[in-house]
Amino acid sequence: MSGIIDVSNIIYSYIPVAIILVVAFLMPPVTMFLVKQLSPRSKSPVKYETYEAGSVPTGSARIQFNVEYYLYAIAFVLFDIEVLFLYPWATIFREPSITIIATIEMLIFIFVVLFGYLYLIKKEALKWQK
Amino acid sequence: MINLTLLAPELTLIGTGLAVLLIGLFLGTNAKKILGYLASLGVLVSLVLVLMSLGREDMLFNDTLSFDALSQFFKLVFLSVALLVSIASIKYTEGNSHTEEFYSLMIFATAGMMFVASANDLIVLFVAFELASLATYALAGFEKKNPISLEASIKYFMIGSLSAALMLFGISFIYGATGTTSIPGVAENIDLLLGSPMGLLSAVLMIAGLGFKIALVPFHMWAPDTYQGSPSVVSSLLAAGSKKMGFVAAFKVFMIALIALQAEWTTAFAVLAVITMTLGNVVALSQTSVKRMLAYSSVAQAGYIAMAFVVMSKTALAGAILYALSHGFMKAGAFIATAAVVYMVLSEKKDSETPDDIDNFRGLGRRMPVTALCMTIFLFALAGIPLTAGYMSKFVLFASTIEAGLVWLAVIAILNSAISLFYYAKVVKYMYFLPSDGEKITEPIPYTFAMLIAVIFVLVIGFWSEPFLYWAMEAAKVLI
Amino acid sequence: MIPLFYYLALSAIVFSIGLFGFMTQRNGIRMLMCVELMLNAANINLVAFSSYNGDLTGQVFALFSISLAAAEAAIGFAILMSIYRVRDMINLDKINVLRW
Repeated sequence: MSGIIDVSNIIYSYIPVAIILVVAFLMPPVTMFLVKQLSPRSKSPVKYETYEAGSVPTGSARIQFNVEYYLYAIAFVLFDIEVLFLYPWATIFREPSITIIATIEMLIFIFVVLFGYLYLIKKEALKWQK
Repeated sequence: MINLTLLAPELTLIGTGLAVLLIGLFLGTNAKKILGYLASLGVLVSLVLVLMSLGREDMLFNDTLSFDALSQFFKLVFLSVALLVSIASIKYTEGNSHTEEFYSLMIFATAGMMFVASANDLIVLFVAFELASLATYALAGFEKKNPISLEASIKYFMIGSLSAALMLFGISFIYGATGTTSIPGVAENIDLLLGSPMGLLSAVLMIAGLGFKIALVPFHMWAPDTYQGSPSVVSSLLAAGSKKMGFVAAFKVFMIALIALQAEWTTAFAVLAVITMTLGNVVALSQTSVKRMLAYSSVAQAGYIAMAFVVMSKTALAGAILYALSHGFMKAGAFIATAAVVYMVLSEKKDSETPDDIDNFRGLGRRMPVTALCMTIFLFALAGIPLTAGYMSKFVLFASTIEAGLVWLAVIAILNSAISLFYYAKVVKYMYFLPSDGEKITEPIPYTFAMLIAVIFVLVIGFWSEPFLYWAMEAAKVLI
Repeated sequence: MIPLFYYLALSAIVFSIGLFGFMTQRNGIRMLMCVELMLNAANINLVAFSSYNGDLTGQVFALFSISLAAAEAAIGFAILMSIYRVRDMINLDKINVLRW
């Protein structure tokens, strides 16, 4: 029984992976060693400061995000995931016998998703509140 | 072209849910009262449509949805509960700016339960199960400024999502061994599952996953907390509707799909049923919160219904199905009566922490006569006093247990019924025989109306039970 | 072809990690993550079985369960956020007003 993933020569097909693995293990030590040997170095307090887009850093990096931010995250994840249902739909869409009914069904689905968006806007969930 | 008329009740219900949400967005808080009537109307229309489709049988959408006596019976249970809850909630949601969310979530939960009742495929079963669960998680935490409601909600959510994960893991093994997710298809290919350890594993995972929803005893911890902490109308939906959804899913999974593993799961259910009814009743004895007492009583009642998995005769199943119907009315009614009392207490003392404490039931017979009378009928029906729905369904269930030769199980169940009478009678004593200095109160009409409907059905099923029993028999025939 | 056993072993391990975490962790977000692990273990199973049975049902089921997991996480975060607003913490051990 051959599955959907057809891999006939499993050992040979892994050779590129093995090469990448070796390169990946060698690369960081070699570059680190070379950088240390070749580059010029200067020490100053400014250099060891945290980088914050060029401006002088303020406060700690471990701040707590505004809890409102999670509302956006939740809304984003939900709408992001809804697209998932378009994939199985798209794979069978070309079959002529179901094209019309599939279109109607997807329109209904998208209408419901759109409804959710309307709800979000109307409830002012997308407005940033302090 | 597929025949969509059989799907009309579900489509009506979902349409109502969306309409309520959409209309609610454009209404002011005071005008939102209309939404309750709209939602009740939608549920009622859906109920009538199910009644009209009685007797018709068909499969829809590549045999993933089956419409038969069993699914129609349970749809009527869910819709009746939803109707009671939506009528009662007209009062509960009064003046709340989130009314439309309450009603649409309640309607979507009901729609999910109805799809579980029709499911003929494990995918549909799981997705519908989750639709109902997700909506009720949010409903349990509806009072989002109230820490108790939130605690009820998070406990329900955590246990519920764990049970969903266990169930999905179990389903994945069933699918892996049999190569199909169709429920009759699994039964046909069950030999493949019997031959591997996956069979036992999946049966255990399914018992755990569904047991959480039904609140069988080792998996019941969330139920008392959630029923106590949630708004009373939501508790009524959870105890009367959501629990029955667990049962119909369990009927389908165990009695149709995994029937060949019967030897394994019958023993498990026998143990679970005995522990569930005993622990539920014993713990209920010492409760001071009425909602918590009702929750433990509801755990115990789940134990009675689970006896059907042990007896496995057609009469026992009919008894269990009839019990599901009568328990729906009794428990929904009792929680709504509690909601009326909670409303009364909160309108007198706004920041009361335990509005459902049994002390608040003192002298209720004088203060709220209709509520007290209805509550008395519900409690006696739950205890199984003759001429009520509870007696009839208990009688059928216990008689079939004795008939099947399981006398020990029947004796335990009857002893448990006797214990339960104690704590039900305690509430009645508080309502009628203990004095209170509170004054008489005008009873809120929506609560009273919902309770009266429930009382009528509890009495009708008790007095005139033949058609209901016959009907439950028809539903049981689908399973065996 | 990688034997089916490996996939099942992987999913069993992931599932056990999730279950262990769910029982030992007391932070709401971490418990939620553990539930996600368990759901994803089931997804691995479904896709592996689907591939070995040569039948697409399992993959469609996995898609459904992924979206359900997202919806569940959304509800969970929403409830946890409400709890955080009211109680200023999400340690579920401390949320114990209701008992007995």
